[in-house]
Amino acid sequence: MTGTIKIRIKQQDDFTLIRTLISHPMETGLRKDKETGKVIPPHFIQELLISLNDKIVASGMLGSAISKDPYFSIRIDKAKPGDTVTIRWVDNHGESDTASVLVK
Amino acid sequence: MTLSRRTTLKSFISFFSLSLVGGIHPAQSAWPKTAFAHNNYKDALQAVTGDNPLIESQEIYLKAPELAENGAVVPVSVSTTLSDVKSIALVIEKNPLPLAAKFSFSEETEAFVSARLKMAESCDVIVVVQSGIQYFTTRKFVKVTIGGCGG
Repeated sequence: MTGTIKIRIKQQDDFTLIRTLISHPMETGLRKDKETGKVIPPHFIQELLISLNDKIVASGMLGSAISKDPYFSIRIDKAKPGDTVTIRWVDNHGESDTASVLVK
Repeated sequence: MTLSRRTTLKSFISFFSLSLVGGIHPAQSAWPKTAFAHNNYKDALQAVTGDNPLIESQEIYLKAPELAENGAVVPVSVSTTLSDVKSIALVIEKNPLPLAAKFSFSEETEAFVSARLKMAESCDVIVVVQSGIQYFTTRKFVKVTIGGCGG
């Protein structure tokens, strides 16, 4: 998959704020289709990796209780202009996406 | 939940057969399936802490709404003044699958995370912070007017 990850970087006085919004259905596998009555199979992101210049600075093991189109934010030690922030996710179907942005 | 020898064996077999089939992403196999499968929050907490005691702490700041109109999107953020924070886990007391997420941090990362969670009904949001080799916790009750299961 491509284009599912939006990344926003905000430099603060003491840290760099990384915010991300990912397009993903995050199906729990507990919900039923209202028309057919069939259980909608689980489809959710299991792993989130946030890297700074190819070094993983934060990772998340996620369950299906993360909301649809997940939003996360973390704070890292102040990044320098030119640093690269990369975010990658992998879901329970083995699908994944990766996106990077440069710190200004 | 008690793991009988048979179910343990079964999970081993399914794990190894999956590995043999290949195609399984190396990063994906790191996902702690059992921890996320617990349907009781106490088991989920134990999966996070192992056999270590869980210590109540005033140094964890859990921000969550007192009243969530939509249980499908409950914004939660956690910060802490505890030192050497290795991970922050979020457990929803009454969700069908209580363990929502576990975030791990490197030394370059501050002890902070914010996310949006699904909550099936009104209950406590429980945070577990691993500081060094110890586990600290705090919780906050969130009243949910519409559940997060869409049913």
